[in-house]
Amino acid sequence: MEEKELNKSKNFFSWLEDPKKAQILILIFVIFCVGLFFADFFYDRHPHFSADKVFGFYAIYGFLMFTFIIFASKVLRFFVIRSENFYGEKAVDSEDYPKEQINMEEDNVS
Amino acid sequence: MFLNSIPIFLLFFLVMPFSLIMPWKIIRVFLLAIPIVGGFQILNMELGSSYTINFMGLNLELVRFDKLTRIFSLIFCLAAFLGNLYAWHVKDKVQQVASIVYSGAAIGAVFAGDLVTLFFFWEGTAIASVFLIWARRTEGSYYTGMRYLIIQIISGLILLMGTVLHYKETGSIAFTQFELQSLASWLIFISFGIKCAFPLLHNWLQDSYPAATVTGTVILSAFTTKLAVYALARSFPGTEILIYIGAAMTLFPIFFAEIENDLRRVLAYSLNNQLGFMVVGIGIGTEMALNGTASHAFAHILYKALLFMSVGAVLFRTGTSKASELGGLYRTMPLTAIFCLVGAASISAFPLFSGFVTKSLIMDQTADQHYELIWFVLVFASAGVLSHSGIKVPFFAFFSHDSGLRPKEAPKHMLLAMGLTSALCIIIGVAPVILYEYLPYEVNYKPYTSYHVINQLQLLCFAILSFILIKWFKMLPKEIRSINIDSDIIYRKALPMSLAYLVFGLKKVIKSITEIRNSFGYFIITILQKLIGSDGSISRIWSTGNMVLWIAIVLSLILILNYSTI
Repeated sequence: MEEKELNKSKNFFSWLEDPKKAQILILIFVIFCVGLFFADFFYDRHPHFSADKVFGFYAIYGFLMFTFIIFASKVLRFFVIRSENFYGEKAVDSEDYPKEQINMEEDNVS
Repeated sequence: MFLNSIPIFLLFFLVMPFSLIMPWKIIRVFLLAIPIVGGFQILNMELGSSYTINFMGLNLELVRFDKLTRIFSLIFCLAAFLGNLYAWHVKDKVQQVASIVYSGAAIGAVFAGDLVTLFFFWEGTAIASVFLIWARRTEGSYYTGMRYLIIQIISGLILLMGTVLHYKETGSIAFTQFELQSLASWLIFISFGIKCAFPLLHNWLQDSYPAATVTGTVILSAFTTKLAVYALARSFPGTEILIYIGAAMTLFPIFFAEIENDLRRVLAYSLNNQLGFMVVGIGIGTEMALNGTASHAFAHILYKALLFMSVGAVLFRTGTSKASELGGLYRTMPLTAIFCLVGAASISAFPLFSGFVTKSLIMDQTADQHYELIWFVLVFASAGVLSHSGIKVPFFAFFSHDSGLRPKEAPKHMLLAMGLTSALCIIIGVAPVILYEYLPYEVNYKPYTSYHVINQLQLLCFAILSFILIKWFKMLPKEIRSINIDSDIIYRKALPMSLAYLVFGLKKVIKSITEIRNSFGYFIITILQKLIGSDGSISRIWSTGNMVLWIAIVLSLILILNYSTI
């Protein structure tokens, strides 16, 4: 049964499950990023302002800003988080989606 | 063709009377056919055509067709078709009729050449669309729908007030460009702003869209807000305040989206953020910026619908759209996962996807017009889009940890709708000329230049690198079953509570007044009791001599007073 389930659920994403392959993918991505960073040497840049004249501006800005977003939103969460039934029955957050309107079929493994 | 002589929105309303007698299986065919007929009709219409009727002394321009109308009405037809295809399985006639009337009203509003017609359809979209929320048929959705409806109706009423004032001032009801000076123009501006989810007026969106049905949210996501974008582009292009409003709109939803648990609400926040880009484009107001707004609205409707479809498919199969409950669905829903990734790549503006060729028109104009700060905000917001819509939604739904859920792949019609939408996203991305041809002004822009492609890839790939590192160190915000309060707490908690306090306070005041009155009354009664009670001093039998004395005293007092006044 389990064997079948594994076979059944094999698809083009399945290679992700092998941690080694995932690591190789990440490594390739990192090399690609490094290449992108130094690509700034090789093309005709079109900066609009003074800041984006900086070498690798987009890469640095993208990296820093993404990091900022994650940590800033963690700070925001500290202030705004509430339990799911904060608004009680007047919101949909704490209720289940009506089962009769959906079709919760499981993947057929047999 | 006989259809040339009738306004297109009437096509959409045709289904209403038929729905009473026809079974849902036939109505759904109409739901697909009508947007197709409408779309071809729009493609064949001559630019500049108009259709006016006289109603109670007012000349109502039911059809005003120019290039701006064309692009928005076309995408509305396309969105209606794709949304209805996605909803092929829905047997609920309420939803069927609501979705077709809603899209018809939105198209009617886009064609409206005067403010009265616009008002009519503006309210039409509000009333029709709320049924897509109520169709969930739970207590929560009832209240949410009510809040949504009240806010939408208020937006319409403000539009009506603005229209009446404008008519009094100028004698015109034409729906054209306004200067933001008079009270009338401000009212119209605010009315559009509510529907466009301006900061602090935005919460109806995040509140209501996740409360609608699986298919309802897909349809909701296309029309209301983009109708507002159209109205702003028509009436307030080049209004500078819009640049700053738009920039604020791109910013704050990023952080809320990042910590939101319900993926459909994450998408609602991200919708809000995308609207910000369009509003900035309107604020800049140059021909290319307006082209950017129109094309971005076009591309946005498609990829946003696609994302809502994929999360909707997950909700349809698992019963939840909460990130904390999902994960690892790629195993059994691989196609949905791919479509979701296409939507994510499009919204994040990866080269070869639709967002890349439309958003850059706006970004480019921001830089060209020297709005340096705004440009930095928009680049920042682009990284933000990637964080929640580009990574968070597909990652937590389809990858991340294994939730143990093994749902079946989405039904065929959903896959077809998602596949078609994905194809459109990629076609626009690969061959932007097709879209550029339909824009309001001539396009003189090449998105695929080496610096543009490389810069965009640098921005996105390094943002992803940051994500990988943060994930590596396990510092991502955890997925917790929770909600986050936003400015809606003002009208959902603070106002009702202060009202309750006010009522409580008033009751106390009334109670103490009653007490004072009662005790005062008691005081009077006891005095009267003492005076005229059964043995009160007055009711005792007095002697005549005493009586005469008293009368004499009183009379002499009167005399003295009279003389002293002479």
